Amino acid sequence: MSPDHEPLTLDAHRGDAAVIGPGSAGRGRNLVPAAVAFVAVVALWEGAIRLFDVQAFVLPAPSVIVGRFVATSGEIWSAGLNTLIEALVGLVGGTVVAVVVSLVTVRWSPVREGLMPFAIAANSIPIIALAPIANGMFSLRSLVPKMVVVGVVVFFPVMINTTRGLLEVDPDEIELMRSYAATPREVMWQVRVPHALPYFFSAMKVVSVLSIVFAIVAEYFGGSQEVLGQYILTKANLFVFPDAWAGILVASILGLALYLVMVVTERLVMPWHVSFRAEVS
Amino acid sequence: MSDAVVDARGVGKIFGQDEDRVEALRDISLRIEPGEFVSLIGPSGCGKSTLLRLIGDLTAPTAGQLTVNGKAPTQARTDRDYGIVFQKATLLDWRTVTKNVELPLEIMGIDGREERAARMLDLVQLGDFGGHYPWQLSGGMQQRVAIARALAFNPSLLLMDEPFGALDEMTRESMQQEVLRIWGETGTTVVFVTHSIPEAVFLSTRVIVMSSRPGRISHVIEVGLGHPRDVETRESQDFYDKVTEVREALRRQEQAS
Amino acid sequence: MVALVAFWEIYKLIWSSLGWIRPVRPDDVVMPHVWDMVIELFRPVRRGGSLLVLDLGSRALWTMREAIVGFLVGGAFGFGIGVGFARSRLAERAFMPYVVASQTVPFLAIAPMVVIFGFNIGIPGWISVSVISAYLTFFPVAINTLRGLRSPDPNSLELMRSYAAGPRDVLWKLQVPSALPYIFTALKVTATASIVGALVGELPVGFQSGLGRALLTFSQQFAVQSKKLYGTVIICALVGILFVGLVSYAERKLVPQRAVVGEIL
Repeated sequence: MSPDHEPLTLDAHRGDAAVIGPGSAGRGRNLVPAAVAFVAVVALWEGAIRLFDVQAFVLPAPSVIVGRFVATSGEIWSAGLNTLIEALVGLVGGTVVAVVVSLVTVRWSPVREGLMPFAIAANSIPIIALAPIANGMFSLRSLVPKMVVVGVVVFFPVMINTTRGLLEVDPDEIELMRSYAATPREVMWQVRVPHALPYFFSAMKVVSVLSIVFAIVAEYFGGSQEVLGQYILTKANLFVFPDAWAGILVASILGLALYLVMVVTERLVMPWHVSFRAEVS
Repeated sequence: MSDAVVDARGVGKIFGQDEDRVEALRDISLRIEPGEFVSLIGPSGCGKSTLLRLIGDLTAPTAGQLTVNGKAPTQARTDRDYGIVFQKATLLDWRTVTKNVELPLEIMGIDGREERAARMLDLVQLGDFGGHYPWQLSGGMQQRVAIARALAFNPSLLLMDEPFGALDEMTRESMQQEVLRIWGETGTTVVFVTHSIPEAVFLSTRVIVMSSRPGRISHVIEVGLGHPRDVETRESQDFYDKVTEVREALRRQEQAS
Repeated sequence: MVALVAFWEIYKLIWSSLGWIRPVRPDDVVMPHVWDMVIELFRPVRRGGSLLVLDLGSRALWTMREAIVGFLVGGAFGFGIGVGFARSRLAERAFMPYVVASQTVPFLAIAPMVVIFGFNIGIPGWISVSVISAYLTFFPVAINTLRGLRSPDPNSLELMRSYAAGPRDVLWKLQVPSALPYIFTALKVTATASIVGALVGELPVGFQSGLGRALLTFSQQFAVQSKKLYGTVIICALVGILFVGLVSYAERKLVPQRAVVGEIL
């Protein structure tokens, strides 16, 4: 996809060559103001609660939430750990399967013809509906069904994006490789994979956050008490909102952590690409 | 003295500031009379496209005076005095050919759009293709639609920025013939930017040779081959001599810089 | 589709004849035969009650209503933000951080809490759920709208300028049509997200209608009523496919250039 360019600066015409402005310098430039905005919202929230003396069962104040967060640390973090395990296993498993399937479909096109329409259709299904089935299949209290749900959720975007990245290579580059009598494997690794990396990481950044969210949501359909989703839901159903929000806070932190891991990995693997980030999906 | 279509005196254009300064054009002085077909030719960076855009008020001069049809370029633009054709046809993919030609008419609020569009498409000999979409047409055909669109509102001036640059030689030559025919039929003044010496000579009444760093006018060559022109013209000795003259002019300023 | 059914049945066959129970037990409770699932749809929900498929059907309509309302509202809002940001760099700089910050909270995870919160202040359940769907929809639509509005190449913008076209013409005749492919890409994804959001929003105790509630109820009865659960899941899947299908249909009508430009996922 085309990078962002400055809109309508006609004076970017120099001589006979148009100068297109640089793409917005990635999320970096947006993160600081976003953080400031976040803090501002939190402050407003706290202020409004105190000012209007809103009851805790309607909407708790941030200060109360943080207080409960600290107080229930042990409980919340051990529940969070279990959820994290579910999310990670699902994430890694789903990604591995997605990449393998992707490589296979690119290598052997008949597989692709059959699989892609199915993948796109399957992507329209609300995956979360599988959660209760997985719970039934693998025992409600186990961590496994949630891993399966996360795995499925992760699989589709990663597979679809990676496949696109592998396929959308300039035909000229492929022909160049053929002229070197390169084997299909060499073509794959020298040309297709590097081209697919931005697409892959784009998907990974999205699914890293999704993995935590869907682990929790899957837990809403049932699970042991030791997981974050059940913790949050129980507290919410009992109207103990500050604790529930504290659980959400943990979830946000975990999600953010996974996202940052992806960002760092991306920078390490593709140092040349960071200044020119093609946003996909 | 009649109103020149384009009257430039000492026009200059500088992009950027300080270390990034690029002087694209310096001291351009030029008169283009109604009905002329003028080509701008020169090496990359000589500012020919920039000059075209100054005339079209797509950018503003940083020095000198420029009038179009006796008015400021901005006024000429808001008065819709000119049509423009780019190297890429720049047709809108979601509109049919007819709707594409109607685009300027819609924006300018001109009535009788359908008839005008149909007439324009006939002019470029694409009358049967009104219902097609741009991607269904070849490059040459898309450019013809772009020309039809540019002329749809009857401008007195037509600006063309290397419109045939992306086409193959055969198509190029037939497109050049087309443009000459249209020019003959409509009497529009044309300012034409090109890289191709034979193209410039074949099409124009005058060829303006420009040099680069900074962009200046180095030679003005009257073509004087008479009209109408056709395949025989291309193969005539006079044509060959004129092409040589232009080529020499280009080489001379290349050696000088 | 056929492959999936075949896979399911073959698995059951092989696993049960070999006596394996990992990873999934092939007995008729955990993995009912596919045709049994379908038949179950046409049996009553409970003794003397309406047919399962009808009950699920009305629940499906309920859920779809929530999802569609949220989808449309969120989509319109996202589109508005996209247009606003494209028109005014100032607005973008000022408000984009808030838009981005809105996504730092895992909204899907707090969906049930939002519904409970809504109950507490007297908002009917379905409105809270619609809010969830809207929230999940607006961000991708806003981002893609903005990208799409900025996608036209410089020549097209110069063309508009040569026509002395006003900002309104440039927006509606050039930018918005260019943006439609991008917008529909987002819409197809957020259509599914809206349904997921609706299902999750229906989970809290106290919510009686909708497919999410059915999922939870039958899930709790899994040991005896697994077929009903599977039936419900099938209905959910159909709802999802239907919704995305509708959006794709709309796309085919409104975006003729997609035929050539191809899928921009």
